[in-house]
Amino acid sequence: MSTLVGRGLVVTVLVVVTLLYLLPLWGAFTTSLKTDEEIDLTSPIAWPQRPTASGYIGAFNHLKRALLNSVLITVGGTFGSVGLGAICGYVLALHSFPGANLVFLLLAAGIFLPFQAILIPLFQTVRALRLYDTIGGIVLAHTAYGIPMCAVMFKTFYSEVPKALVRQALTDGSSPWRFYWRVVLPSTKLATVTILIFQFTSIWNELLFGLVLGGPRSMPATVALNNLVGTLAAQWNIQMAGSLLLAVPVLIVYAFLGRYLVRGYMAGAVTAV
Amino acid sequence: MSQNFRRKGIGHWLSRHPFIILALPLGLVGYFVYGGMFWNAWVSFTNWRGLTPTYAFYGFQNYSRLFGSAVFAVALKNTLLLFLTIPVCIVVGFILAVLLDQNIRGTGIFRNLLLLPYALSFVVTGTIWAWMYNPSKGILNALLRQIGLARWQGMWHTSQETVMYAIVLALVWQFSGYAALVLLAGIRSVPEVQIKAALLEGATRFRIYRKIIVPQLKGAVMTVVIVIMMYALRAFDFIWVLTGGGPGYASHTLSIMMYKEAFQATRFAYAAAIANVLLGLTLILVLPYLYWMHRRAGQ
Amino acid sequence: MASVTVKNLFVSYHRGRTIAVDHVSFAVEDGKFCVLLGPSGCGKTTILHCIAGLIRPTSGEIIIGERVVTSTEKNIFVRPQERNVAMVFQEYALYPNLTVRENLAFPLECQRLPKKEIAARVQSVAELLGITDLLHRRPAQLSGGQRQRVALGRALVRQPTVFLLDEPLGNLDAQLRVQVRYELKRIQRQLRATMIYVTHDQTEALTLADKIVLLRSGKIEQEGSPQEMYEKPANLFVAGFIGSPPMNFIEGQVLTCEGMLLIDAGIFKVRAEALGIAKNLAPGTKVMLGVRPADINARPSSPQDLLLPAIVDLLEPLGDSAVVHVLSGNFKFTAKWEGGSLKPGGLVSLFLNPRKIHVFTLPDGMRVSKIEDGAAGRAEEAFP
Ligand SMILES: Nc1ncnc2c1ncn2[C@@H]1O[C@H](COP(=O)(O)OP(=O)(O)OP(=O)(O)O)[C@@H](O)[C@H]1O
Ligand SMILES: [Mg+2]
Repeated sequence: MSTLVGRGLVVTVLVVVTLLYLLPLWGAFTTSLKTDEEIDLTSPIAWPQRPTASGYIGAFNHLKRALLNSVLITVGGTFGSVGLGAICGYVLALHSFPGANLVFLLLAAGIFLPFQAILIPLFQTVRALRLYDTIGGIVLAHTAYGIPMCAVMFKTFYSEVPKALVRQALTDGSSPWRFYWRVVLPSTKLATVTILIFQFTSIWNELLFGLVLGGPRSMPATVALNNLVGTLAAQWNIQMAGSLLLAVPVLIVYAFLGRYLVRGYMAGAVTAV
Repeated sequence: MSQNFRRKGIGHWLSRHPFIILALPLGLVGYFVYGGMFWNAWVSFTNWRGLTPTYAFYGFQNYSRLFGSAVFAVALKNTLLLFLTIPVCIVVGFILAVLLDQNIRGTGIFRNLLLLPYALSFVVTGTIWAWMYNPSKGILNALLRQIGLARWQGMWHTSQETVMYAIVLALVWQFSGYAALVLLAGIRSVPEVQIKAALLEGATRFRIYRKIIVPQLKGAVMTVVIVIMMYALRAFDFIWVLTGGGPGYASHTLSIMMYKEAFQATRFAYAAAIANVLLGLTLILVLPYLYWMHRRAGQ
Repeated sequence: MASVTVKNLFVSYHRGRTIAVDHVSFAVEDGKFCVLLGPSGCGKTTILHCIAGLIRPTSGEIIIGERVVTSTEKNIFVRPQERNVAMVFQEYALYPNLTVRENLAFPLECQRLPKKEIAARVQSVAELLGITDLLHRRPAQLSGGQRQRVALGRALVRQPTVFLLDEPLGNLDAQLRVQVRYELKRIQRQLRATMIYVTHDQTEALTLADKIVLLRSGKIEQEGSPQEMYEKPANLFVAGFIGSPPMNFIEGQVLTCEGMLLIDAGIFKVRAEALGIAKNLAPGTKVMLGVRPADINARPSSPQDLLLPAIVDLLEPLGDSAVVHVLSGNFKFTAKWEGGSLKPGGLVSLFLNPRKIHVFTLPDGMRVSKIEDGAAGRAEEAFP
């Protein structure tokens, strides 16, 4: 495609396809700024004649408690799963021990598990621990089920640290944990950021655990938005504003840390899934 | 020496037994993943209803009821129908990847924008598509009216006939940017020198793609297949938000059915059996992939 | 087959901030083996890619045979596939998904040749290179040397007008390198092919080339036959780059003593006349003297020979001979030793024929031409 015509064609097709892909988001945005009457009268993708924030105010009033819950759940679940996953990844990548391969295989297989297959035991356990309808219960679930993915991703990244360096450090008398803090962690900052962001967006976006383990006090914003849709069937401006509110953290990450997100998708895809 | 004496305590003990620290993460995974799996399997052979602690062994009755159920047949069919997303995404993703691979400056921005839907929550996109497909106020019908194709207006996700295709279309929208990303990375990982050599040997662009690049995309294609397949198997959130499994049972998948049986009808044992079928299906589909990966890694 | 002419080739990257090739001109006659030699990063690959048409130069002209294939002035650019040149890449660039047979057939299929002819040509090239047993294998199942042969075969099978080879032996072990080098030369002679061969290994260049073009930082330092480059290096860089073990250098100054011109090198003084240089040097001029290790001998070869008493520092036995590192005063140098046994720490007397000493003026490092160079010597041009 070295000819000018070819290039023009390629760019044109890309522009058209991209606009098509962004159309739903654009439509959601314009609708979120309209009043009920205007939604009935104007084209769904037309810019509102009198943009109003009433949709956002309405949505925020419905979602504010749940958004706070989501923040707590996401922070807790991200640090829990990434922290514990990092430990597994470190040991598996740089310290061999009997059965390490089996442990890795079992962890990797955990990624493929459909959540439905453990949902009932999870529900029962959380109830038995008196954690039903608490932030803690949902954080526990995200931590436990996030570990396999984090461990496998960390193992892949940590495997790039030369094994000779580990042997050197251990013969120099460094403990494995000192080596981790002083050498491995500082030299793999990118990997840590990548996995943190990957987990952050996955947990923020997740619905099922919140639906099953959360109640009125602890439900995350995904569940609350879904409930909102169920109760306000006709108020599209509030619904669209709510979806966009829910998307805001992800959009921010996407805009400013998109590089890491892409890296996370690639790593998550290549390692095991 | 003296330092060594001072540094006793838990840190010292941990450094002498470094693998003890794996106990917590592996314990969590062991209990919640593998323990949960066996517990669920056990439940599926009982008649437990969840709220009461008493139950009796029930043998294969849950399974025989399940395999005789018309809803299960629909759910299984729909789950497999979602696999339609895979080839469509690969074709669309490949075309996009080729377009993005033409070394035109500034096209990187398109890659990022096309990936945006994949980053969003299925709850967000489900809500947005519910409005897109809304027969009276949604974008889709409005646009069809505007461009003079009013005849093509449809009921989309509110009609039993079209609901699954509407879901597949939306999922293609959400996943094809991701497919393009992975396939583009695959195309880019073909060493440039091979392409230069082929150019020099007189190969056309088309021939280079067909004979040299595409055959080397096996890994990337497999990745896309497995990621979308895993999603299709557990597909819950998007469909739950868009249709709740309706109209009627028309968009029930195994995971929707399982959720409803467990947490709306509190038939835990029956739901556990559904979950087990889903698990079995996953194993059947994933094990060959894992074997293939293993063999490739060995090569 | 065809000749190749490169005129004023200039390639820059980063909007002129990196200059990869800086106004390079040279010509390769039909059927000759030309080696582009130079240290890493000097622009060899870039030149080759320009000839192949894989890079459009910033400016310059390239002519293959009678045809101008690249000319920025006349705005001509023939696409790579229409140049009928074959290239063996540094990394081989075998297609991993195709078998050896399919790899060899690929360029012919691109030309839409009939199946029968493709099969025949693949077969004959495979026989020429001794890879008939490997035709069904994939590149991953081949050893380095076998891959190298397949890469070469893929170029041969096309019967191109020019072969371009980019460090094709770089990934082979030492023994295999010598063997394939020989085979390559044999094939080149047999086909009377025009080959342009890139390497940073001066031994390879000296053994293979009809003509060497020596580059540094994108510029030509010297071009000529291997013998010319060895015997009349145009400057210090060429002198130091060509020859193994490398030339010894010692600084000196031109003095007058009782009406005679002398060069004082510290450990020895030598009459300028004895060096056989074609031009008088002004007293006070600083010079660099260069002596090849092979020109330092255990026995005198003429009555004029300089005697260098020295202490043996280190020996590198080579079997029949040895490279000996010696100290003379505080000057270290190497010599090729073919005499009797030596011990580190022992004393030796070494002889050096002053006619064999190369003289370079400082600070420009240019060679001072000698009487025996003759009127037409290339090095003469440095001293108009
Ligand atoms: N695409 C490019 N963009 C920027 N600089 C480049 C590019 N290609 C080559 N260069 C620069 O041009 C110079 C010459 O590169 P070239 O690859 O021709 O060297 P070479 O002589 O083949 O080296 P080697 O022996 O290591 O292969 C180098 O300094 C390199 O950094
Ligand atoms: Mg090179």
